[in-house]
Amino acid sequence: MSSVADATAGGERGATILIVDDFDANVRLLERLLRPQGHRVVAAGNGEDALQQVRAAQPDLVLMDVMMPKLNGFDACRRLKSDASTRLIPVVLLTALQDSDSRIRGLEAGADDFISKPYNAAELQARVRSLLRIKRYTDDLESAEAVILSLALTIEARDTTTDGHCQRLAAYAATLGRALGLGEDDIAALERGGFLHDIGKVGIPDAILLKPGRLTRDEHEAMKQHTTIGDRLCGGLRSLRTVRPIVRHHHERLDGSGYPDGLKGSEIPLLAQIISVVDVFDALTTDRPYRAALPHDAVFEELRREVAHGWRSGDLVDAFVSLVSRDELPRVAARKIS
Amino acid sequence: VSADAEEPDIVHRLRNQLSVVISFCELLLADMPKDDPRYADLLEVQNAGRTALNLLPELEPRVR
Repeated sequence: MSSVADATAGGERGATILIVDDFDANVRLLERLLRPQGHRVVAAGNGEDALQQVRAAQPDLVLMDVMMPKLNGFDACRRLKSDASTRLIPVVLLTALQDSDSRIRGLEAGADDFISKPYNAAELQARVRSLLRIKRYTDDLESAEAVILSLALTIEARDTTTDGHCQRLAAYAATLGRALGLGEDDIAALERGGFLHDIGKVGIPDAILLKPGRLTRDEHEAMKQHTTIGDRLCGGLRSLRTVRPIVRHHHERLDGSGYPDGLKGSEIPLLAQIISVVDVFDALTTDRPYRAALPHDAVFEELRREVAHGWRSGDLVDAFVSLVSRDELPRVAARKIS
Repeated sequence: VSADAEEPDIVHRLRNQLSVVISFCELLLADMPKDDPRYADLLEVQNAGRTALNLLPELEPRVR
């Protein structure tokens, strides 16, 4: 029993905690409370120093006074929470007891918790432990997502003929999404979907994936499974839930002749349809071992033929063709895996 | 108490000072056996700090 408790507590030791306060005695007090818990403590004297220290020390937790010269705690907190690289770091604001105005302003600034002065040592240590535990979970999730993204780029690297395909797809799909007026959550899903749509190819043997000639019927059936394999791979991560429909359904066709589920018309998620259109465009406009890149006009013709076949949405294809015609697609350099 | 003020007001500064007095007393008390002759003295210091802290809301309207 006690060994389990020790191990859990031990997991939160050794964190880096940034204390931000212009009042030195307060910094020393917090150091005195946190160092015996095995944490590394760094200090900053105002909000501006705090932003610099966050970049330099990459703390796991920020404890910040609200009233400080230069940049106050609310504004510093708001800046940390609006920056994607720092918003997952928990920020605790140190406020006077029953100062409800400060708490409301703090919540609006994105603060994760409040601790009242004078501190109760046991309460402070318990809150710190709990926030560090949450931070560790988000770190784990972030690294799981990073692993999946690297995996996607690794798959791309297996096939040298598709170098840069993922980056281009992410950029093109996001551009088309914006042109269609989609919200930021959908744009983010399209960007991730661009990278992850073919993640399931990790489960396809090289002999099939890299086969230079035409695939046999059986090989083609095996290849089709990359959609369901990819969906399963992303299934464990809550942060990828908006991307899963793209991974699973980017080979569906409006007339139901696609795979893996033979969805028809509006049953096919819009984001998957978008990825599918830009996927065809990118595949046809890049050189492959068996053919040279096609000119844009020929690709537009092919996309319109697929609309006429009942495979794709004419509206989506028109919107994309007009983006390309206006030269509004971003130029994307291929990113190599080292 | 306005958090936007460049210079914190006197109530805020007193609260900070008193909080430090009270919290360091708590740390010392935690390390000290209760039968130590200094224990009761330290408790007096901490209680006086708390009393002073509780007086701050009364001071607040007078310094505005």
